Amino acid sequence: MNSGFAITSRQLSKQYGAQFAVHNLDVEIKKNITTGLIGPNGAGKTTLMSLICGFIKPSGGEVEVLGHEPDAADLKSRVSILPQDAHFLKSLSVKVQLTMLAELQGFSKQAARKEALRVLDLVDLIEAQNKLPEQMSHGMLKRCAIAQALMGEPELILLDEPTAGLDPSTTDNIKAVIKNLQNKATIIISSHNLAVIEDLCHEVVILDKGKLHAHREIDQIVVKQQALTLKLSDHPTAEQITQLKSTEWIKDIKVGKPGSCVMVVYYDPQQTDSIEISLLQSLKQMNMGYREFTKGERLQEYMTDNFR
Amino acid sequence: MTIRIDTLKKIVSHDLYYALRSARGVLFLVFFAVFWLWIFTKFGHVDTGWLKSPDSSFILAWLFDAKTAQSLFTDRHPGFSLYYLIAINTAPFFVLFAASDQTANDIGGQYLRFLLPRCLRSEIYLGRFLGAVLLVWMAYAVVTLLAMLWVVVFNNASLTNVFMDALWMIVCLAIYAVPFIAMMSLSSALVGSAALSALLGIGFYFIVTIIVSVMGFQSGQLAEVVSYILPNTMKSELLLFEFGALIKAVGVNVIYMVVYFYLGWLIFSRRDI
Repeated sequence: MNSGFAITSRQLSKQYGAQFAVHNLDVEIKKNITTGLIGPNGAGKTTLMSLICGFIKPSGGEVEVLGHEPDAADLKSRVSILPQDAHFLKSLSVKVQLTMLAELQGFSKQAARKEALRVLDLVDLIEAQNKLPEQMSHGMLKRCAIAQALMGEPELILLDEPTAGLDPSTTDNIKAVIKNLQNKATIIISSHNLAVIEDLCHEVVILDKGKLHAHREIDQIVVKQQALTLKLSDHPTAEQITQLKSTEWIKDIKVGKPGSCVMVVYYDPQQTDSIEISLLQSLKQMNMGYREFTKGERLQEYMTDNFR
Repeated sequence: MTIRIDTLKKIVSHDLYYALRSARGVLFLVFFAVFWLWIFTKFGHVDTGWLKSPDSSFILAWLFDAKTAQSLFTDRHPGFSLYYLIAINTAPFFVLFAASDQTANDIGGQYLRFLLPRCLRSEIYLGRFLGAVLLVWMAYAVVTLLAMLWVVVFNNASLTNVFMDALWMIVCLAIYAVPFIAMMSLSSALVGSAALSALLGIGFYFIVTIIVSVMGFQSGQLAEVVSYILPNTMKSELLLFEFGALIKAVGVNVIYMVVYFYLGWLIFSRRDI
């Protein structure tokens, strides 16, 4: 077992009836970095997270978490998770429930109370500490679930859809909290929000139909130095594309699905220094308006290309 | 089965704390309290002295054996024994209901996913069982002590006479209840809701009881064998108020408890949650 890996899976499979949710998966996730876990619906992301945490048992193969089996006593309180569909107990306030969970994590009663308040403060729920789960909105409950995953000093944090159902301001807040944890723990984030994955992750594991599609550094997928991604006001016409392609420094152009108004321009960095200005001038000449301008190719485009 | 005692204690205390605040726990306590309040009010209308008279011996010896009838109604206060009879006969229903949600709702609501990163499955399973055991024990201890006071105040029993009987009854009810709680550990490990678990446990109890009764008409021996599925075979021993019978009941009920508990553990330790 290589100690540089937080998670190692060998031929890991999980089968439901005849259907494989995860199939012969070999993956090694490095320690002390943030790794994104992405893939289309049904790719096996949540199943993989559940296997890592010991919520479900593998049908075949094995998985090691920090050098132990997922159920090992040595792992307790060293791994924390934001599960996707778990519900808090009814009829107990969130503060009481988080205090109880902190106690189970090894905190004394008094320290557990303080820890519960600390994590509630991190997710901006200090004022709702005495509310019952049924009195809270979906977003607030999500933040509570995130709060319980932040308690103590876990070495491995697994976050399944941490920003799903959150408003943009809260999403930014949660992203900031995760960024603060990045030097202290290994973090694995599963999300359909690819912008969050791009912003937070160093590596990305892409699953498709239960199998490993790719495991790369995010920079290898998001080609930051040789592409510009534009969200245009109108979807580009074939004529406009042809005209743009004729520009000397443009190597290739990729257009998103009709109506998406997305265009990725691949360029030769050797040929011009002020590439962004040149592109904007070309767009202006062709009367093409834009709404967003991003350096590099977006993960979204990579996923769209590969999982059409 | 690895267990960390400190974590186990916390799970048990949290379970009891939650039981007294959850709908399930409160519902059990309300039903239990209302039922016993109703029973106690009827005590005033029952001539418990008649149960002790020679006239009643014939009927009671037909309902029980002569030894049990004497132990219950001659050797001790008949009013208090009447409480004990009602308590031990209704215990399965209250216990099956009270212990129905050990892990069931947490499996359904996936609350266990918050617990598992902190606790072992063995600690959760044993902790929930012990929490249910303590809740049931406390309920029966309180109601037995209330029954004792009731017969002292309203049925002219002597406190010194009934006090030791009360302690004996508490121990017997505790011993009687534990295998039923273990049965519900199995039931609640099987399903994902407390209501379904209660339905499964109580339904199983009823169906086996009916099958045993029907079979009894055709083959008494076979019916006796089938009746051993349910953990109430030691009820008659627990009515005798004898030390030897108590030890036998403890031994047999421990076997019931271990079998049901272990079957539940086999499911809970392997199931996806």
